[in-house]
Amino acid sequence: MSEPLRVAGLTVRYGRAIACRDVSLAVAPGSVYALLGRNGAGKSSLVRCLLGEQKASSGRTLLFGADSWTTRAAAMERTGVVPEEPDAPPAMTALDLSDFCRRIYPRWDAAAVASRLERFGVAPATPFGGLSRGQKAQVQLALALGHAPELLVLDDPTLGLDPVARRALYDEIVGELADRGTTIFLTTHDLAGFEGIATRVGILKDGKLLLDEEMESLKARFRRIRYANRLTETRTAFGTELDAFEAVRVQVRGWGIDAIVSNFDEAAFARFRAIDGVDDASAEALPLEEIFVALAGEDKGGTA
Amino acid sequence: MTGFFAIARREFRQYRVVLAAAAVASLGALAAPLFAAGPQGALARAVTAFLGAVVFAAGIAVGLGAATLAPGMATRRIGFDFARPLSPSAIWWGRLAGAMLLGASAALVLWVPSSMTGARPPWNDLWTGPKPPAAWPLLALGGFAVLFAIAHCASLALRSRSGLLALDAALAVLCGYLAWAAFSRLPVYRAEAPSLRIAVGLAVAAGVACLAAGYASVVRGRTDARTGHRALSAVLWTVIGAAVLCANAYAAWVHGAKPEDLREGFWVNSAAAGPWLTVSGPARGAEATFVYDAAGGRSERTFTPDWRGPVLSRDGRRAAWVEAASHGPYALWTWRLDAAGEKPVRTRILLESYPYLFVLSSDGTRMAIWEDGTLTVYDLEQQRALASARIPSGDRQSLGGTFSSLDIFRVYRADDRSIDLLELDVRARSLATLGRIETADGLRFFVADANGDRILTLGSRTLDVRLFAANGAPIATLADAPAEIRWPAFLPDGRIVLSERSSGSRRLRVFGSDGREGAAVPLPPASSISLGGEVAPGVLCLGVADAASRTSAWLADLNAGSVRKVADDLRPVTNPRAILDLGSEATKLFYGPRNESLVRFDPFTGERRVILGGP
Repeated sequence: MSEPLRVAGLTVRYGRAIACRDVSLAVAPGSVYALLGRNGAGKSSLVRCLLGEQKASSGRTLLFGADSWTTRAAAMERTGVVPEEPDAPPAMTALDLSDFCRRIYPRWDAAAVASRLERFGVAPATPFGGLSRGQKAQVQLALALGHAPELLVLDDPTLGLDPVARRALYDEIVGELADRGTTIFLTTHDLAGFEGIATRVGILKDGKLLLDEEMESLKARFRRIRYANRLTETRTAFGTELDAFEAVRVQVRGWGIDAIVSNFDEAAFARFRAIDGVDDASAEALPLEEIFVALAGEDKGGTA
Repeated sequence: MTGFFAIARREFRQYRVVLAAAAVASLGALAAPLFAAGPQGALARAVTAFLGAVVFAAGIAVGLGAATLAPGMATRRIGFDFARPLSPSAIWWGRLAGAMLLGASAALVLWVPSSMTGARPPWNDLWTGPKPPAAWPLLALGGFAVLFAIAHCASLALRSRSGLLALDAALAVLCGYLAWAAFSRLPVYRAEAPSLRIAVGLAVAAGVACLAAGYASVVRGRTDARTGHRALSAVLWTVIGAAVLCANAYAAWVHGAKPEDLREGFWVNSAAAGPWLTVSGPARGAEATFVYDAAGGRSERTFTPDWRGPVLSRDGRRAAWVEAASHGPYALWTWRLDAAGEKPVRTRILLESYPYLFVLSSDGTRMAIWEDGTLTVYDLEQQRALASARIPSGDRQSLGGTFSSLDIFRVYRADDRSIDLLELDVRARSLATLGRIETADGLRFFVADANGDRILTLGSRTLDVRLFAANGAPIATLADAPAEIRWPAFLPDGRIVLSERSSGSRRLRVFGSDGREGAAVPLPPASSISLGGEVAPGVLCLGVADAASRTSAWLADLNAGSVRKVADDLRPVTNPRAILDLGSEATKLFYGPRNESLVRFDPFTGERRVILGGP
């Protein structure tokens, strides 16, 4: 089975501004890829190129092995899309939209769409323009899944949703994964929500892909290390004791040192603890959000 | 096509509420007679419903064109349609088709109730041009599509906020200028067909350009307004630019017509002496008039209206014409024909209105022009007016005139019964009334001799022919017995010939300069006979047409009283008021079959050469 999605050397320019710089990534079948980045990092430009809605300045975006700019319509038969801004025709109801989609997709499960809408609690006869933001996202998701896509692309789908709507959306995606093993590519700010779902993570910063890694390995190598030290003249300064680690962020607190490292391993930590002058050292796993903030947030503040 | 139909259907359904608005508006049209009584009420209803339908449809075209795609592209949203398996073709043409269906439906909803009460499209009340073709609904749909595309292109271009807008504006001005240039290159008069071709061609090209540009913006831009703007500008200005360049090339081609391009029927006026003539007719789709040297082939297109073409002096050494323009002042041009390499000259003489009458003196140095009730004689060498006089002319009066000498210009102001004989003395700058010719039988035609000393009149009813002196004094009655056909002409030596059909037989009667009757020449049976020039002393050329309009050239020997046919399919070039010099080049010019060629033919040797036109 070919890769559902591949980005190769993608660069997107808007005049002199560069939204994406030489980005390359690939998504394996059945995986969930979460592309993270701050506002303006280039996520939406990448997604538009990926969906064949915008021509890349250079590089290629492939869906199911074919160029998405030239074969967009064919690729969309196998792809479901939930956009960041719900933009279905406002006068049409969810049922109208489902009926429209029934005419253009070779396989369309109107009953499944109706069932999802019912689960979401969306009134099917309400015009799309009259729905709340959360309901619009739910309608978009129901429509995106209506033709049982092999690939689901979600562009910040939980933006502006309340916790209940977010939960309903997660449940639907998890259900889709469980039922059919759909490949999912998503961009999001809601890191906590997708942490348990994503299998691979990419982080974009200023258009560059800083990181592209399996979630498991990512979480395994990132740790927060806290300790007090007696090595320096003051307890709140640090010296060379962290040299064995690649410290992404180090903050000096009143009680000691708080460091996030990106190459944690148990043996090295054991040697670290054994250093004379390192007291009360502890290492704890990090949530994805903290890893993201450490990488995509401000530059290493307080580091030596 | 599935996507196309799905989008068209969705577009229609999405905005179908406008049909309800159209229905409400139709009630307004039905109520229009409340404000105008009688037949005016019915007209008010028809006009209100018709214009309402047009405005409604146009509003839908502009509204949907501006709002259906461009806003989404401008905000770089992932478009609902682009996230579906829909081609750009289906997205663009489907939306357009849906809008067209909606516009047509709204127009029908608005119009049909009024039409059921007997209202008909009020073309005659709204439009003074030609009646629209039967396929006008298709044209209206085409117009709707173009309006939709224009609105989309304008909306996208403005929303893109791109610097390309400045280039668009510059190109629009340039293309507008080039379009104007194409029209302005065409002759002012009788170029309706080329003008219409250019207008229709540019309109179609602009329509196609807008539709193609809209399509290109969707294909290339998708959700990127600036890319879409670039694509639409590239297509729009390429197509329109090519169209205006083609229009200019076509206009230049029409403008550059040569006498050799005269292919269809044309007509010729020749100088009394020499090889120069004026030739007019359709060339390259427009009416063209040339001053043409039948011997050497030199020519100049004069861009004059066919009803007031260039004039030649009797000696054939000078041509003059008034440049046609869409409005005055009109410049007088002259051309010395006897000087090799001489170019036409635009004189300083400007006329406020296009002249009704202009006549060159025999040597071409002076010109008499009548415009807006004033007769002025100009010196063409010095390009200044010498004398002028007020000569009003009534609605039913026509003016003619001739130089009696360089300083005397005689004016004939004629109506259907009489001729006023006037004389402008240039040296004395005075206008005198010489006399008046009254005809009891009515006046069909009159002609003066070369100096204006004698005048021949042809009556309206009995076709009596009379000869008068310059002051209107009767000299002789040449014919007063009723005849079926009669036509008089002066010969170069002052004698008079009269072609006549009476009691079924034709003859040519010859009179002396004093009106005394001389010989008579029996003529062959013919449907019509035209009098040509005197090719040799006492030998007159005739054009004879039979009942089937087949022409042949004949020679009449006025001394021997005999005629003989000299050629088939030829007819002498004639001008009822011109008196060609004896044996001049012009006496050997003939129209070929169906007036489609000009032939030089020597009736004595039989030598024949096509000068202009077909074989």
